[in-house]
Amino acid sequence: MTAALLLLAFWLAAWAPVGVDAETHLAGLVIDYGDGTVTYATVPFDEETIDGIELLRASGLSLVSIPFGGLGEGVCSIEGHGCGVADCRRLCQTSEPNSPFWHYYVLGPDGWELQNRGASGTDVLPGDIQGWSWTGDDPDLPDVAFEVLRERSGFEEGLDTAASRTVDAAGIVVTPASSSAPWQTYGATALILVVLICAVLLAARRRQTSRSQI
Amino acid sequence: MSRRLDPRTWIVWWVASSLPALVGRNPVPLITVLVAIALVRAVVQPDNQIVSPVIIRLFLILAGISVLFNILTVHAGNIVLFTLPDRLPLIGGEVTLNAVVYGFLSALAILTLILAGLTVAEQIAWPQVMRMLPDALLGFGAAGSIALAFFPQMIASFREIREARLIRGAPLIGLRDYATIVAPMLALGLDRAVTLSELLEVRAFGGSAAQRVPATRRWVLPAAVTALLVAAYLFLTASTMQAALVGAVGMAMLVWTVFADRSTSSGRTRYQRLTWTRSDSVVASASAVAIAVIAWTLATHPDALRYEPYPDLTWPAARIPLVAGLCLVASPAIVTLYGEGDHA
Repeated sequence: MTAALLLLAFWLAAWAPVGVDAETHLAGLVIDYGDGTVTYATVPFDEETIDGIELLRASGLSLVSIPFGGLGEGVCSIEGHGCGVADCRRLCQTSEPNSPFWHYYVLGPDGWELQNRGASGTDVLPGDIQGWSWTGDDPDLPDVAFEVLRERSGFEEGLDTAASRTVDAAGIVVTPASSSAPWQTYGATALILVVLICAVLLAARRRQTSRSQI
Repeated sequence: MSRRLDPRTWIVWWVASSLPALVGRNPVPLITVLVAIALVRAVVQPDNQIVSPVIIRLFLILAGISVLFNILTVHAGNIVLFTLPDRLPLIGGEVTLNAVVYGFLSALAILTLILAGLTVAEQIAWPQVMRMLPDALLGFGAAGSIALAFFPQMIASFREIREARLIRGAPLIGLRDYATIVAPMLALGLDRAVTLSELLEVRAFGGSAAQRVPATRRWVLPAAVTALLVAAYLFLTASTMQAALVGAVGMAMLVWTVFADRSTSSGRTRYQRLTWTRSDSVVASASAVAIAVIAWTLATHPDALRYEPYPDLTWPAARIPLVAGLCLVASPAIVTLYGEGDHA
């Protein structure tokens, strides 16, 4: 009986329509890190609509987010800018005046509109531009038309993957710096610890010897 | 075995050894402090194991829970191990090495805090701590020590019940068996509480003669508490300067209330005065320097103490002055070995 059901399921799966050629849509992202650098990204997606978090994830930018149950996901950091996971589990914003947090906007006909529902609760439609700004003041997101954003992000027609570019305040494209291990400092740290352990062990041995002589 | 250090010295040492784990998760300072604590434990408690099997088991449990919690709740990072299906609510998504590292470092920080607290708890003379409290806080101290004793007493009650059941041929096996021991554990706990209160009563604990509190002092305590609550509100509403001012006034009133009560105390007897030795000065100074180095590093190079393996798993920063400063946490081991019985 079970084998027959499995066979039927396999047969149905084999005949199921696959590879439906879905139309690819495009949406844009403008991310202001609060230090003068701004990222422009163009993201292709096949679905009719996706949410703001999925758009961020699909952009290929490094995203750290924390789930908040039914409230959806909270954004901690984008491309290393923002707050750490431990702070994010409580609240990124501190009690300091103008303490920054991630502001979430959608570009509408009247300019950038603050989204109070959070990124998990919004629908991204083809041609939408969403904005993120790490600031404690009014975000100064640049108004851009979709074609301009596509150009700034380096997206080319026919691409099926997201494209993004980060520019500084002068408009120069920023390339991420690679970090290497500080081996010399690690070596010095290990040396200090070894000296400390040896000093304590030596003193302990000397004390033991002097006690045994008494 | 040398004379024990002063409780005040151990409290300063405890702050110095706990701070790196409280302010961040950089493995370099965490490992340095762990090595220093292990050396202190090896020297001041030569009979005990540096890290007992119970601690190792606790660390493994903590690490397991912490790693599991992180990999299931934070689906970020550049090194993806595997992917859980998105249809799983909350836990679906990428499981990353970054989350494993973060969970492990969290467990390491908790282990540091446990070992530092355990060392102080084993070394400190609690009756001396009680004697150091101002007279007005004596009731608070007694209540605190009774509260601290509650958990060990509960464990002792559990062992007694388990042994009694074993003797009667009814060992604790399933969850249902454990449910049956709740009532006897509560009964034993209440019995111990009643005995303790009777013991305190027959010793006339806190039963000083009725004294008239001056009218000026009667309103100071409510005013101090009100000021501290206002300060907390101001701090939360980002008025930091005003919060500091009101908080300072509240604290001053609270301290005045505590120490002003000394004149109305019932008179406590002391058979042994605390003596502050040169070893205490050395350890307290070394710990204070370590605290200062941590504070300075936090202000100038926070990445040397704080470490985030998200979004990219990078090498943690290391700073030699911080490592050298944290080595001072091993000072109780040094003074125990080099300067025994050197009274100032």
